[in-house]
Amino acid sequence: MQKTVLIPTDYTVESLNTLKKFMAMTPAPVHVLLLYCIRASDSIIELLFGRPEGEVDPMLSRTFNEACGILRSTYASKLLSLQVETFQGFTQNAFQNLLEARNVTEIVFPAGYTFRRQSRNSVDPMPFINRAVLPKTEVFWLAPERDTEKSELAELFFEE
Amino acid sequence: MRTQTKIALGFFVVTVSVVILMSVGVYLFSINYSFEDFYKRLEIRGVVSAGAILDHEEARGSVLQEVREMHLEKLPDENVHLIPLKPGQTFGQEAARLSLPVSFFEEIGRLGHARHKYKNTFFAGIKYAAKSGDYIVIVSADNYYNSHHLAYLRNIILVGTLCASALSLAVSFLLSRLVFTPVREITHRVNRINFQNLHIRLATHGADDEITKLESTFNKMLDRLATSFETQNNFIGSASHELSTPLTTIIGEAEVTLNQERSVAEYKESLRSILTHAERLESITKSLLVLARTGFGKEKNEYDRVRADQLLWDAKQMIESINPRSNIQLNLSLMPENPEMLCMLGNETLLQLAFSNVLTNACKFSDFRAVMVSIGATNDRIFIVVKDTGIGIPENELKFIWDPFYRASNSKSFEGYGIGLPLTRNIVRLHNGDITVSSRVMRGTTVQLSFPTAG
Repeated sequence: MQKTVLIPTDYTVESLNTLKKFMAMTPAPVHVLLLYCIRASDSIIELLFGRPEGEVDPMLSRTFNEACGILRSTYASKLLSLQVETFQGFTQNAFQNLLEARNVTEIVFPAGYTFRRQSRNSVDPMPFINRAVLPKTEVFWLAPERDTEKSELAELFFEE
Repeated sequence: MRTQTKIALGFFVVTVSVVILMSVGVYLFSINYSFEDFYKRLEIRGVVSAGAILDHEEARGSVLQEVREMHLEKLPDENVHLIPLKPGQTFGQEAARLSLPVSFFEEIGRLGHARHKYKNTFFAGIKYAAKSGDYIVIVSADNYYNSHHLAYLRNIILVGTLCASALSLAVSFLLSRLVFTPVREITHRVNRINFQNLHIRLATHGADDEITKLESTFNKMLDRLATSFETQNNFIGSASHELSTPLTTIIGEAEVTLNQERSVAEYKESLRSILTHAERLESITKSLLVLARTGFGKEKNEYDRVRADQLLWDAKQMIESINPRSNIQLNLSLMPENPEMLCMLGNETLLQLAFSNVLTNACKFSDFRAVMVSIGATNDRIFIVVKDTGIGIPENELKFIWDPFYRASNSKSFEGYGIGLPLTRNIVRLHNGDITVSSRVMRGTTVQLSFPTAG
């Protein structure tokens, strides 16, 4: 069976380093699901008519997409698919459902990285990941000091 | 035709057609209703009259007679005809007498009622079952309402339509004038701007509408124009300065040497000095020529497929052969698996010049500390990132780095004329690429280049 790996992201190029490191390590081809967590809105109008994409799309910067594209072509044979998914649930059960629905077999998360909140509704994915019952891999990378490049491709190119 | 007139006419046509459509509708429905109403009245009169005449001995008949005489006003030209209905009867005779078609009678026989209209005279026929047998009752009258009320209505509608058309014509022209006033104003004000008063800007009027957007777009364009004019002026100034400095030195050196008889060694020394400055002069002129060629001549015909990574390697080798202290590290961790993705269309010489410019700058301004170069590609673009840990560029000077001869305030102790970056940008633009520079003083500079992949 092909592996599906879930990697939390905060839509910064920097967070894609987890994926880069993992792809460099893993021998087998994998499907990758990048997960972004937001809190579902309290507003009835938004619940009825809003889509999670509506809130998330503005955050998906061109640079982020380019970085994804670079990783796709770098690991063209090992990276079977790269999808970006939004998780809107509150509970661990909802998270577990998502993992089952997407046939996730492994969770890969960065060690010592604080996810940046892109909007008011952003949620830290780590509590969900910590409580999930699946094999987990911790990936360590050291971001370059964010000196010259602010959310630029260089964040992906030069990690140590 | 002017857009203003077009809009006015369009608005006018739409309004008038709506008004006409409504008027015609009102008129037609009124006619229909008035005919229907009149026939019904005739039919009721038929029933009442027949009852009153034929059944006058009975109680019902006498009541009807009273109603007929006391309450029913005579209609203009009202006539009532009673025709006894016998089996097998043909109505040719009656039809001729009343000048009605035979089918009218046949319809009454079949359906129990019929309607007919001749000019303004309306006929309604019904079958009436009296004590003495079945009768056909035909009531005819002149439709006064049709001839008078409807004519009145028609006149009102005609006058109303005309008035509405005139009004809408006036309003539409006024409106379109009003809409286009700001546009005319902008045209007027923009017309006054020429290269001598490029500082003039259009006054924006606060509101967040299309006109304000147009004005601010114009203003931004003027900003860019003014900047490029300024750059041109600066360019001429800087170029003459750059060219005159070595010339002055050469002239001065020659004059001093010629002042008196000197030894061979001294002549040699001075000639060497003159040669150095002449060489400097030549290299400036050469790079200016390249800059001019890349900036204006769009010679696309000599493009061929080149590998971006190969160009980088070549540039690295060239720089290291010129200055062995250079430390350029190529990071290949994000190289695409498919080398085809690193192919681009371009002029090899120019691209190599651009790459080596960027790399040389990185080496030079970081005192030959390590320079990281990385390359990656998406499906349609190639990305090259060059990162150094040098002196950086002050933030408020970043926008000037593309001006020829501009040199950042903290770069005076480094050699150079300030032609490299503008030249690089010209080359990158020739190849439909992008170049972005971000920097922090004393921390380093990152240059990101991107080019479209070859098909």
